[in-house]
Amino acid sequence: MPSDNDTPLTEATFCILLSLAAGPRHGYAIMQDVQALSSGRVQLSTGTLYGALKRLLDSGWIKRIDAAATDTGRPAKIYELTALGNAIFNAELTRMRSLVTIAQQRAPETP
Amino acid sequence: MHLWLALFRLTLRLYPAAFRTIFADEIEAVLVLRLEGAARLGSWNLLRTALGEWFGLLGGACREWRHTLRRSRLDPQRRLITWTLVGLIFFGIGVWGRILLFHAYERHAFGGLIAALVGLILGALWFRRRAPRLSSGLLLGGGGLLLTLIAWQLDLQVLVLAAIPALTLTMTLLLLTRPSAPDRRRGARLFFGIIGALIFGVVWIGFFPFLTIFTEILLAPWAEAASAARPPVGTTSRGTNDFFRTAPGVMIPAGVTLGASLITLTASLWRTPARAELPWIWAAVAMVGMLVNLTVLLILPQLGFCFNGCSPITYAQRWPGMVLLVVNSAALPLAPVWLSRRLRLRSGEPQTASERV
Repeated sequence: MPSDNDTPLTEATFCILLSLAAGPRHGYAIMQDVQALSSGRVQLSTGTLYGALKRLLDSGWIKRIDAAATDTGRPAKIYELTALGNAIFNAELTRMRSLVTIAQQRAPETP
Repeated sequence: MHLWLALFRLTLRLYPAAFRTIFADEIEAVLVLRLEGAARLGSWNLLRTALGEWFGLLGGACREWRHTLRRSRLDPQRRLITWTLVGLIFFGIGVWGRILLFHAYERHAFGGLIAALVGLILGALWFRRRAPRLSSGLLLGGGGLLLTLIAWQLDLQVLVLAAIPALTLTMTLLLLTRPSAPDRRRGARLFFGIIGALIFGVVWIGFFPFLTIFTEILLAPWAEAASAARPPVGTTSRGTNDFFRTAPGVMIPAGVTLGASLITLTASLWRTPARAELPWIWAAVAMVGMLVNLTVLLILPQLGFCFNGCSPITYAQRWPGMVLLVVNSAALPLAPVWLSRRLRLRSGEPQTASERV
């Protein structure tokens, strides 16, 4: 069960979880996906990405799976959301949705 | 591109070993893909990507170390020693920096050392109540640097006089802050402890110049000899003699011995049940160390040792004294560890972490 301490997530963490919510990916694919998801605003360097992945692995939010090596030389490890990671991701989504709803109700209407 | 990859591999070595074992190959493979992708978009893009990745790796290494240190499960004694060493490194930089900046040797280097010792004890106290955070270590180091810089204007005598009450106060605080069983005669025992702490401070401070003199006699045998009697400039004998004749060389054995003793003493005190007679015991340890040194000085001539002024002077004559100096210098830091263990055994306290559990 996700606790209150688990959220809010940082933007980078949220983007990584969002990328993995669509399915398991390897590190390079996550980097490209995060960049695409954020329209180029979040650009993770390799060092930052693997630091974040390690933290997520340690927390048990994602798991690392061996994958068959490809001809393109891509890393033979992929990352997948765990049930806990999925629950935390959904909790964060719910939190963000409720915030957006409140903001839309209170913010002055823009022309 | 190969050069960049070599630089990345080198930078990856800065990461903690546990991280490298799991991720190094994978990171390297991703970096190859990143560089290949960037190279296709032109050399400017390659340079920009490579630099970004390199800075990312450097920042990642710092973050991983910080994370590793924060998560490390150190027992209090190890934590204390770890952060005391961090402080010691900073104090060392402070003392050497001052020597380089102000070309101050005798008085100021000694002042810095005293400041460092006092700072270390206060730092040890600080960490008794704090979690082992890197920021705390840096704060302690910064405080030590400041203390060292302030001390450079002070005279040797002033610093010695300041160090005695500081040591006494520290020992008293350690006695006061240690959890102990309720004691009806706490006031009397505290007074007894404070007197012991004062004696400890005096003995401890007296020990430093004593060891320095001892070092000069043993390692700078031509210190008082006429210029003509000294070995020619450029020889090993002359170089060694000149190094140990003046500060900071002459203070190194004393600094190392007392620094190591301070660490073991504080760590031992931490793990020993609160007892008012502890300062007396530590003072006795330092006193015994000094008496052993004195005895060594007295028996050295019987072992063929030649004091300054004898002719010819050689380092070969000095080996019995050097051996005794090393043994004595090693015994002083080890004594508190042994004594602490004995005291805990007597009080029936558990010895190891597994026993404590």
